[in-house]
Amino acid sequence: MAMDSAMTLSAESSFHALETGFTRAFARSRAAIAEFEIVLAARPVRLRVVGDGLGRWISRPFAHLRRPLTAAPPALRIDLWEGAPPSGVPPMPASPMQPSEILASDDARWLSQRKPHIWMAFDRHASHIVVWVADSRTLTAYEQGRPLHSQLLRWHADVGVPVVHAGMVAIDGDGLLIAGPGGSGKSTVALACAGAGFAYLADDYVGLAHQDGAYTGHSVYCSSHVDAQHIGHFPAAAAAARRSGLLTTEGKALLFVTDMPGARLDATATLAAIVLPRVRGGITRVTPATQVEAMIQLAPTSLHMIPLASFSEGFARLSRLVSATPAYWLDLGDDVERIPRLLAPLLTARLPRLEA
Amino acid sequence: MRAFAKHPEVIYTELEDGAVLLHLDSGFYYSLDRVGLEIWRQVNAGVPIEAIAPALTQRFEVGQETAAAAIDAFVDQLVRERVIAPHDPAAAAAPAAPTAAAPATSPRTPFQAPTIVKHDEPLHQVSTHPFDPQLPLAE
Repeated sequence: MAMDSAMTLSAESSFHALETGFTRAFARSRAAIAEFEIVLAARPVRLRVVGDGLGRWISRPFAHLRRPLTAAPPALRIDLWEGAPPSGVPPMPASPMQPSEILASDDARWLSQRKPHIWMAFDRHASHIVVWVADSRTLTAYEQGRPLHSQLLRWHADVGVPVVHAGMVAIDGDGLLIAGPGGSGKSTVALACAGAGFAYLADDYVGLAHQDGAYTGHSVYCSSHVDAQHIGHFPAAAAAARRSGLLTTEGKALLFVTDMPGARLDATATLAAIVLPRVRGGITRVTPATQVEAMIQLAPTSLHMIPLASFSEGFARLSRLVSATPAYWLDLGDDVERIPRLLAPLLTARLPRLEA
Repeated sequence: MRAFAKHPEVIYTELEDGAVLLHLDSGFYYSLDRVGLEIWRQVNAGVPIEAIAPALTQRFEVGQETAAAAIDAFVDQLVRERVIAPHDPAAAAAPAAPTAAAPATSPRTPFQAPTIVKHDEPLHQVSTHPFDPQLPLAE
């Protein structure tokens, strides 16, 4: 009977089961309880974590966004605990790569995503995410680099800072959005720039706020996933990847840019231009791109990745973005070390620090 | 008189150098060039195909006969891709007139045969799963 009632868990009851589980773990735990604050989309986000390993997991990708606890009411609360699952809920059959079980309430207020080793539920009205993790040592490299990916993308859209599938780097607060489908070279470009004096915001996901005619990019994660065979081009990134020692199932090295010697990370930047990398061979060069080309590079993956998002609204939003922002192709050749020198003039006449 | 209407599941945006269409049923993206966009506007406004050529000749350096042939070929492509479908003008109060032709004093721009490019992979194949980005999408 317990199984039957568990099988009919709704998204809302999933959230409440997790919330109750967290409250008990928080009250009973003799393990370390951490409470800290980060800034996402220019808003305070408060995290409460029960479990040492879990604390290390959740804090690392947001290390660049952390700030001392404030009295400000959080725009988002995230509660996490590690250990025994909520009582009365049978375990899912274990299969490491099986797709998540997804539940959403009819009104889309409640959202639950469950795997055998991790269960996340989101109450969008209350801006509250609760997470259970069986054992933080079993989290995949992807989960370690981009924790709570779907829930945070949904929340960013809820607060008017929808995330696009792009990287971002900046000089003196002026940013380049690096857009393209998987395999186009976004991470290569972001890491090349991060190693040459640009500030790093993202290699794959960046929130974009639009206000008073300007777009502001907001960093989410300081992690980067780069093709292991390309990382040799970037000694500082290679050092960071060795430190993390993690490989994704796609054969990409996971690194935290905070571990890159000399790297600077920014939380926000004002968008100046869109760069569209594509692997071409030969000599790396920059040429103007049209609005249609920018839309085709940016829209397909950006539109699909936000859970419960309206394609029509997203399509119109990206159309406004490409109409308002100059775009350039970056044809990637064999001389990737030239990337920062080619991109810096799109932002400023001054070359980045290490290229001068 | 043949007239067409946009498929209800097609969304599109007009940009400086053409247009981008997304067919929500198939997941395919399409791009149109400037001439294609001009024809798309007229078709989408319910203008009968036979009435579009004069509008095109006012905007572009092209004769009536070439324009009519180009429009026919282009509309055939739009129909094949199911981004438009035949529309019964009798159902409308009156056939639409060509829209917003450029003023006669505007210089005409060079003409190239209109193109529609279907982008290689539909949305659901190029995209990652919104909840499990590290996993391939289920078929």
